Amino acid sequence: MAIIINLDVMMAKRKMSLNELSERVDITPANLSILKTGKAKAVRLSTLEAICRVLECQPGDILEYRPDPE
Amino acid sequence: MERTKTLRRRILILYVAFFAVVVAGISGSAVGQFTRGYDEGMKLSQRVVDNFTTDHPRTTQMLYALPNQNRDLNISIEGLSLPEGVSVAARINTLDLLVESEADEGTSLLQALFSLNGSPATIMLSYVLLGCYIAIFIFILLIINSLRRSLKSESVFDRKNIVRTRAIGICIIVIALAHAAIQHLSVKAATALLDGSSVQLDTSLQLKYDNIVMGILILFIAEAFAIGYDMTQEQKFTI
Repeated sequence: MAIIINLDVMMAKRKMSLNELSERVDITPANLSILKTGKAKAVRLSTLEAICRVLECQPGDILEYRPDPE
Repeated sequence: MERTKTLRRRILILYVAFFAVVVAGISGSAVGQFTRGYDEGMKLSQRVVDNFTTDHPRTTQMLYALPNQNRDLNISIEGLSLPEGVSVAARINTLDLLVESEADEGTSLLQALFSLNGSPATIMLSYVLLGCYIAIFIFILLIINSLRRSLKSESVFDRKNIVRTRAIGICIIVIALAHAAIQHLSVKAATALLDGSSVQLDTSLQLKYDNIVMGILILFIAEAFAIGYDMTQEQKFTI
């Protein structure tokens, strides 16, 4: 997948654990873990909005495009 | 919650209906046919044994349900009281052929008994047919059972059910082809045996297209299930 999710970087900057973030964003820790480990196939805009609100960041801080080497 | 209850009830009805149909089919027709076939088979086998143990061993070949092409071969029905202007005629659509011949030197009794059903190819195709019927029964059982359990986990599409559905479709097509092949081989053997007689058999390929269409439809359904499974997986990984 060419879209990388740098959630762990932002969580470290804000010194927030996975469980705390999942409680504040209202997503299960299991789903948040799927997002963090890059296994997610799609992210809802509502989820992205909630994460950006809690982590006080921009979508670009969490999402990065890295094209696959051909 | 209500929707899940409704689905579970439907699955349960399907489960019960499936078993009711199987039991009714087995007790209503299959048992009767099996008993008659078994009795005929035992009489015929005894005849083969009796023929084989004489000074002049003979083999017996039995070919069933050969399609009759001679439309003039009809039986007139007498003794029926019918209203004025009404007539009844019986048509002979199939013939059973019983042929006895001198056994070749060195033919064993087992070989003589095996000759009853015709060539080894027809015997093998009969086993393939039987295997397909049993496989279809087991797969339907497993699919319904799996659907019942999967409702609890709210994942209706299952990779195993997709494979089983595809297998059912393939088995139905194989059954239609095997039936046609057995009949074709039997007619071919019978035509050779009846060479010179006035009996005319229908030598065209007797393929049951409705079974093949059903098999293809079931394969389509399996592919629809596969698409549903992929969509479910994608939905599962949408956060």
